[in-house]
Amino acid sequence: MNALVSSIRGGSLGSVLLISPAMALLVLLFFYPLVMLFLTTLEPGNIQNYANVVGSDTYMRVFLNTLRLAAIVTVIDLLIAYPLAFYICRLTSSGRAIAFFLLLIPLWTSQLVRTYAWMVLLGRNGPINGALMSLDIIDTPLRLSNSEFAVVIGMVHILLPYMVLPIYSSASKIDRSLVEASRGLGAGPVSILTRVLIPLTIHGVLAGVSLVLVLSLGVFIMPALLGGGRVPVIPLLIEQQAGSFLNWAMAGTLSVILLLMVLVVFWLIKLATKLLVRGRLNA
Amino acid sequence: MLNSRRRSFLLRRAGVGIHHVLAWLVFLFLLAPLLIVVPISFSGGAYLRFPPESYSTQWYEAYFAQDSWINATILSLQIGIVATIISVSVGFLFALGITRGLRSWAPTLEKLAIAPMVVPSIVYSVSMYSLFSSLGLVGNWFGIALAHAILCLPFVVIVLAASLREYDMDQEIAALGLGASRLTAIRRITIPQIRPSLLSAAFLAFITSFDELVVAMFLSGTFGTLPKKMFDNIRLQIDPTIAAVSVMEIVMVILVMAVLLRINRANASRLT
Repeated sequence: MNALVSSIRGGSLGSVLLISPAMALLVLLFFYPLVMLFLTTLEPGNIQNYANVVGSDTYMRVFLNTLRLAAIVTVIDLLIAYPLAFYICRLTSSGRAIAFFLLLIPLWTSQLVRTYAWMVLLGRNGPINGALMSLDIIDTPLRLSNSEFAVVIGMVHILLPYMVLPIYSSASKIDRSLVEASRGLGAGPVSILTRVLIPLTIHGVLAGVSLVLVLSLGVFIMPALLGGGRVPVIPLLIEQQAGSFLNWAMAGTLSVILLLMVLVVFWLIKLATKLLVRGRLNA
Repeated sequence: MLNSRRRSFLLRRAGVGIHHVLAWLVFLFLLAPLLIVVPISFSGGAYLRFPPESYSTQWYEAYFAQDSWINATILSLQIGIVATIISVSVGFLFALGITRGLRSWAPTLEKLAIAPMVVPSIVYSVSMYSLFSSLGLVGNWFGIALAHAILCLPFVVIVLAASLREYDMDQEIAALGLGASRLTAIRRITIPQIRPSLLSAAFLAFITSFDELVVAMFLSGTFGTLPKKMFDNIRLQIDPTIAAVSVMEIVMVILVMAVLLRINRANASRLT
């Protein structure tokens, strides 16, 4: 019997065979092209691009704008998702099924469809302007689309489920009697939130934050369509260099920098997780 | 006069009420954009206007009458199906491998397989363009399917590894004890039981490929997938054909979700 168990659990050789097709695909079609891209940007004719990027005010402004946009979207999503995740926890099982349905339909609907829908909603003749005008709040249509505001709304909408789901999964594990107990011991709502709920959900929060932050750094569709050319971000810059100027070397350099930014963000959040979790254990 | 106990009770009730209202406002925010395209897709006018002045099915007819839309849809379906088959088959084997052995390596391997989700698709597309242009594969639909399969793999691995970890392995052991080969045990005992997760994984993979824009923009050459056609259409002119396409996509997603939720009722949260 032990041999049987180990043939399932241990079987290293079998397991190596099982993972090899996926690893082969990943190495050949993912890691190899990325490493080659990186090495290409270091070639003598191309390495100057790094200096050009770092020395250029225009590029630096786009970088800062990309980071700022990602931070804004992440904070808004966190503020919306946190109470929503707890709300879903409280629902009955059928209510929860409906809530998941409502959360997953947008997640699974094409990003292009949702971006188009926001263009309609925020358009000059769109329903938001229409409603505001018929209520006599404004006389002339507001310029809502082709702006940073529109890009932020679109990104918040598209990335929200990625924040709700990890927070929900850690919030759903909290024993409700803990909240009752702290209330019984005289804790007010603020200290229940900061001393009970947030520490217990910090893993979910950090998972959601890193997912949304990283995804929002790489978003292309919303800035391209909802920004109307007014919201410069790195992915647009890369597409412009490759698509319009056919400057693949510069597109490669910018891609490597964007990838490095993503990795640094990840590393910082991992560091924050370690510090916060250790701080909690010591407290 | 309210005593303090009664006041805190009322405050808590008010808090719960506000929480309730805010949560449903968020759901409205999530769904409103999807609902708004339905009336527009049935608009009778030539321009985008909300609410439409008259209603017709002209934009659906326009979609079905144009070869460029139909060809783009068929191409996307074809790429999506091939990318799904590739990613689910290698992803299933991979998930089996990391949940049945390789104890200490499993977390690292899983991170490697999830990495494509984290690398921005535009970065991945630029790197694949360099590779494919040196191999002469730009403009080849199978090349796009392979690139999509890489992007689908993280979702497949996350869903299937979670499901295989929860799965009671004693049943496989029992089958082996009764003389089944490993392959038979997996085929006849394991696969039927994780079928809902396999279906979820396949659906997620298909959606990921079917909706993918950036890779197709870089690798498709002269022809275009449905997202590429939609993107060009939205960028150049806002004509309501795109609303008709959108409604058909939304209906497709809702139908499949309803089926999956029925199969997988107990594990709604797994569908992510």
